[in-house]
Amino acid sequence: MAACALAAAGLVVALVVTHNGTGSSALPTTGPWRPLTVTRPQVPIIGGGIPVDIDPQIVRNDFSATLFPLPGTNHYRLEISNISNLGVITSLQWYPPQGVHIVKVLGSSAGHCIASGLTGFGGSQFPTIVLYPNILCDGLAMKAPTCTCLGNGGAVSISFVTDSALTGGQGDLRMRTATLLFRRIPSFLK
Amino acid sequence: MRRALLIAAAAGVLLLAGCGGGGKDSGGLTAHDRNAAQTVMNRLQNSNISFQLVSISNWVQSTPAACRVHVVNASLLKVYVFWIPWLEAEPYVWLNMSVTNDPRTSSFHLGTSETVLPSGRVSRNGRTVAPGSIDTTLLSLGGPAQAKKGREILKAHAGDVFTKPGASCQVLQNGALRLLPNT
Repeated sequence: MAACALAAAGLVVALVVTHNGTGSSALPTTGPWRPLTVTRPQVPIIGGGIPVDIDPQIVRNDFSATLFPLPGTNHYRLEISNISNLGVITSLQWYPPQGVHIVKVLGSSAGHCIASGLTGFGGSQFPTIVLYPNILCDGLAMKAPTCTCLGNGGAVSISFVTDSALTGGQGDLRMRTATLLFRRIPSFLK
Repeated sequence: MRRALLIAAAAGVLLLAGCGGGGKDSGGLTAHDRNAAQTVMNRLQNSNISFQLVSISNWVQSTPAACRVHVVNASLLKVYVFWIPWLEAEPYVWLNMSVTNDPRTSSFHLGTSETVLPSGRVSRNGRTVAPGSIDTTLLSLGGPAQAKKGREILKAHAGDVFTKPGASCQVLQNGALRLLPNT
């Protein structure tokens, strides 16, 4: 017991003498080394509900997309490029504008794209009804851009047919999975 | 040199005196394991990974709901970070990392899952969209069913990171990861 106390005291002295052990892997606890916090806006809650709509403060901008009409009624090609600072995008989902339904996915230049959505509406009464149809593409390897300012990331084009004309916007593209790069992707060129 | 000698001498006396250091905590980690794991995690500082840990938290307006480190061996860690978003319009997000001392042999996989569909909240059976629901409200208003869904998604993508030896971790303001003590 006495030996332990003596040895411990020796170690404390050694650490003090050596400026608190700068070779240790322990992290500081102040300034930027404090636990992460997130600031949220104040939200009024009245009767358990919120009387206002709250939109995300940050809208991700992982893709640039261009829609091209193809020969045939309501036939389109959507060309999508990776412009994110994440890294390699491996799957994505595209929701058409409200009121437009995906009839068929004709093909894609990479990966595997299918028409997706919620099935089973009303139990088994309506087996053909698909709610919120969208196109889900996986097996992609959309390489990271060298700079998010250049838009030179990997691309994929998807051809599909809808039940009505795409006149009300380009829909909603969402990154599903990605492989992050270790190095930072710059947002401007030096 | 003098510094190293002093520390080595003191540590040697401690070991010879059988004063601990080789014992495992409740997470199955020795002091040496903890130190080695923290050293490996420190290599992520100032990388895209530390940047994204902060960026994702700001995106979903939540700090991670889970941060866990599983020590596979002295030079390989599995790190899992999972976020439950603040708003329904934001997705669940998880990051599975296999971290070594070398970024070239490390991997960092990001996954997301919608909490609700665009413009509608999925009903309890997961097959329909609740009439009149909108996706511009707090996820917590989804109640116990939504909380259960969050826990299920958290577990589904965790692999074996919650097994021993391991410990919880914490994301810091600069994106660094700190290994927390096992209680």
